[in-house]
Amino acid sequence: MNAPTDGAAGTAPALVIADVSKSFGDQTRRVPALGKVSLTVARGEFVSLIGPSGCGKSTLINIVAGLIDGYEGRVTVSGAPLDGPHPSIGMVFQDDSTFPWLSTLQNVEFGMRMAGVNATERRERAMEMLDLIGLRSFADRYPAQLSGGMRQRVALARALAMRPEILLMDEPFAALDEQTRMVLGEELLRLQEELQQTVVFVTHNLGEAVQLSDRVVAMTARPASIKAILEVDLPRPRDSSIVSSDRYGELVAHLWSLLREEAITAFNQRDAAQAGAVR
Amino acid sequence: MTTVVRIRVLSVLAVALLWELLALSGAGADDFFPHLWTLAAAFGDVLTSDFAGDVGVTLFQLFWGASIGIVVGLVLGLLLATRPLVREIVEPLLVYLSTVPKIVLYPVFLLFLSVGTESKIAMAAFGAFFPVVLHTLGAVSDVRPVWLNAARLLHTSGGQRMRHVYIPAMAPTMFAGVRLGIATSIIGTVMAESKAADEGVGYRVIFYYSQYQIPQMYVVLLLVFVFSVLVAVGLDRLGRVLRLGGGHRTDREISL
Amino acid sequence: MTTTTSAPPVSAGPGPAKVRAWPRTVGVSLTRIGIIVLAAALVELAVELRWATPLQVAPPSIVLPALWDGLTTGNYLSLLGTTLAEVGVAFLCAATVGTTLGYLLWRRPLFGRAYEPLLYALASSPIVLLYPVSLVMFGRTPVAVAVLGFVAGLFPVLISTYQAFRRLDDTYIKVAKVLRLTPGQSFLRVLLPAALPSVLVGLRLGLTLTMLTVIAMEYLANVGGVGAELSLAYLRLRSADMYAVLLLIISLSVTFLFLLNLTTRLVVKR
Repeated sequence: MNAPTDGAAGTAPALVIADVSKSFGDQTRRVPALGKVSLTVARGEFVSLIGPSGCGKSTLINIVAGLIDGYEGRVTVSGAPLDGPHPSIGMVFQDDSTFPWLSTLQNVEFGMRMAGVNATERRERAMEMLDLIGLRSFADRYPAQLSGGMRQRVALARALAMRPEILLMDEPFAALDEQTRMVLGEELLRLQEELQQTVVFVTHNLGEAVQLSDRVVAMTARPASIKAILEVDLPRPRDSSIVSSDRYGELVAHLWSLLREEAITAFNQRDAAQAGAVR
Repeated sequence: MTTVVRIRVLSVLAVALLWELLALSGAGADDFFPHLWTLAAAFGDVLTSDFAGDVGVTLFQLFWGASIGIVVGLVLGLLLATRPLVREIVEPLLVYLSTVPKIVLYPVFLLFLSVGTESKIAMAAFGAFFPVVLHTLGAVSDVRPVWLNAARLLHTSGGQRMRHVYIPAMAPTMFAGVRLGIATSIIGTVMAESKAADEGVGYRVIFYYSQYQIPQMYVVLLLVFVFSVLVAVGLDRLGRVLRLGGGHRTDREISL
Repeated sequence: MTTTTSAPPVSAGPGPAKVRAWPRTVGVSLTRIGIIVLAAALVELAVELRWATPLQVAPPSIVLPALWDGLTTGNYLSLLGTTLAEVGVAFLCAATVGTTLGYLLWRRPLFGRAYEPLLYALASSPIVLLYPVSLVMFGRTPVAVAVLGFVAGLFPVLISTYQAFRRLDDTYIKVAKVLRLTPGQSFLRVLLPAALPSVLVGLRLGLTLTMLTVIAMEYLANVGGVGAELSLAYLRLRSADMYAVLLLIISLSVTFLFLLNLTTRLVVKR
C-alpha cells in the first residue's frame, strides 16, 4: 500500500493549493467558477470550506481530488504536484456512492481488492474499519438494506480503509436529516481524535463547520475566492455538547457575518441565472 | 380462503362453464369449442404422438439461436456503450430496425439458409439480439457518475472500472434484456416453424390446424404458453437469486 | 424514445455547448445515412460479384424501381390500406376496451388484485402464436388479423391504465376531496389528467404491439395486406418483389415509430 514514510512526505505540508483558478465553458463563453485560491493544509489538520451553495467550493475539492483538470495554478500533495487522482487522497461524496451490488464488507474491501491486497489482510482491515464506524454487525447487509446515514458511514470506511493521507469530504452529510448529521458529526469528531486524519471538508452548514474544524475557510460567491479564514479555538477533544458553549455561538455568529453578504450575492446570481434560463 | 383467491377460483370455474356451454350449444360449428373432455383426450393424443421429438427440435434451435443472439447482443452493446460517438450514430438505426417485426426477415433467411434448422436458429438469434443490445445500451444510464468518481478515488484502472463498476451496475438492465430476448426467441422460433418446417412445436400446431384437429392444436398452443410462462417465471427467480432484479425497463419492452 | 445519455463524471458547470452542437448532429446524421447507402452498395456489389445469387438477393437497382412501381400502380397502396385498416380497428378496440377495463379494475381493487398476475402473464405471453385460433374462429379474413391485433394490444393498455390509476399520488385524491369536487369533476379534472401520461405510455405500447402482430400474422397466414404480399412474393420466387415489399414493411415500421415519437413529444410536453 501507499504508506507514505519517505522523508519528504514527512516534512512538507499535506496539501498546498497555490493560485488555483478554473473556468468552465469554451472560447465563446467562459464562466469563471473559481477565482485565485491559495491555501495550505497542515498534516492532521481539519479544514472546512464553507460558502454559499453553487459558489465553486465543490469545484475546488474536485480539483484537489484530481477529478477536474484544465485549471490554472498548482496543487501539491506532500510536496509532489498533482496529476489525476492522487494515491494518498481518499474522498467521500455528497451522493450515496456505495456500490449496491456489494455487501457492506465488500464495499469497504473494494479499494484494497483493486490494489491487490491479499484476502486475509483486507478482510482484517475492513473489519477494523467496520468496528471503527460501528457497522460490524451489518457487514453482510447490502446498501439497499441500510439507512442513508449508514451508507455514508460505509463510504467513509471504504475511503479510510485505503489509509489516505488526506481525506476529502464533499458535503457528505448534505443529503441526510438534521439528527443523523448531528450523530455523524459527533462520530467524525471521535474518529478525528483517534486517527489524526488530515481532512478537507466542504459544507454549507455553519455549525457543522465550526464544530468539526481547526480552521474554517469562508468563500465568496461565484467565482469563489477566499474571503477569510477563521481559526476555531475550541478545545479538543470535542463532542456535540460544544454547540452549547458561548464560544461556539460567537464563532458561528462571526462566520455568518462573514458569509451573509456572499449568500445574498449568490442568491441574486441564481435568480438572474434562472431568469436567463427561462428567457 | 381470502376473497381474492375466491374470485380467482370462481373466475376459472366461470370460464370453464362458459366454454362448456358453448361446446354444448354447438356454437362455431365443428370443433371450435371442443368439450372439456375432448380436450383432455386430445392431450393424450398429443403426448402419445412423437411430440417429444418436436419439443427436442424446438429446444435445440431455441438454445443455439438465443445463445448466439444474447452473446452478440451483449458484446456489441458493451462495445457501443463505451464509445459515445459510434453509439450516437448506430443506436437510432438499431432502435428503428427493432420495431420491424422480425418474422418478415424469415423469407430472407429461407433463401440464404436451409428450410431446416439454420433458418430457425437465425430467427431465434435475431429475436434475442435486439432486446439484449438495446437494453445493454440503455443500461449505461444506470451507471451513476458518483460510482465512477468513487472508484477513481479508490485508485482503479479503466479496465477495473469496466469490470467492477460498469458491468455490475449495468447487469440488472442487461439481464432484463436477456429475459425479454429469450421470450422473443421463443416466439420467433415457433412462428418460423409454423411457417415453413417439417418438425418442431410450431410445425405441430400448423399440422393439426391443416388436419382440422382443432382440440389437438389447442393443446399444443396451451403447452407453448405454459412453457413460455414457466421460462419467464424461472428467469425472474434466477434474476432474484443472482441479485439481478430491478433492472430498468425500456419502452421497447415488447418485440416480435 | 427514451434513449439515455450518460452524464459526464463531474458536472462541468453551465457550459454552453450550443455553438458546436449543430454541425455535430448534422455530421452524425450524415454518417448514419452513409452507413445505409454503403450497406445498399454492398448488396449491389454482392449480386454483381455473384457472392449471392439473384434469387437470394435482388440488388437495390432492381428493388427500388419495383418499390416505386408498386406504389405508383396503387397495388402497394391498397395493401397498405388493408394493413392500416386492420391495425386501426384493432387498436381502437384495444384502446377503448383496455382503458375501460383498466379503470374498472382500479375501482374494484379486489378484482384488480385477483387478476393482476394473470394479466401480467398474458401481457408477456406469445399472443401472436394464437393466429391459427383466430383463423379457425374468423376464417382467412382481415377480421381474423384485426382480432388478433386487438388481443395483442389489449393487455399493455389495460395494465398500464390500471397501474396509472393505482400509482396515483394520494395527494391528488386528497386535493380533490379538500376542494369538494363531485366524483365526476374529480375524475375529469384531477384523476384523469394525473394518470394520463402513464396511460399514454400504455397506448403507445399497445399500438406498437398491435402493428407488429398484424404484420406478423398477415405474413404467417397469408391473409390481408403487406405481410401476405411478402409471403406470396417468396412463394412465387420473385425476389425483386419480395425485397420491395420487405422494404415497404421496414419503411412502414420506421415511419410509424417516427410519428409515434413525434406525437409523444407533442403530447407529453408539460
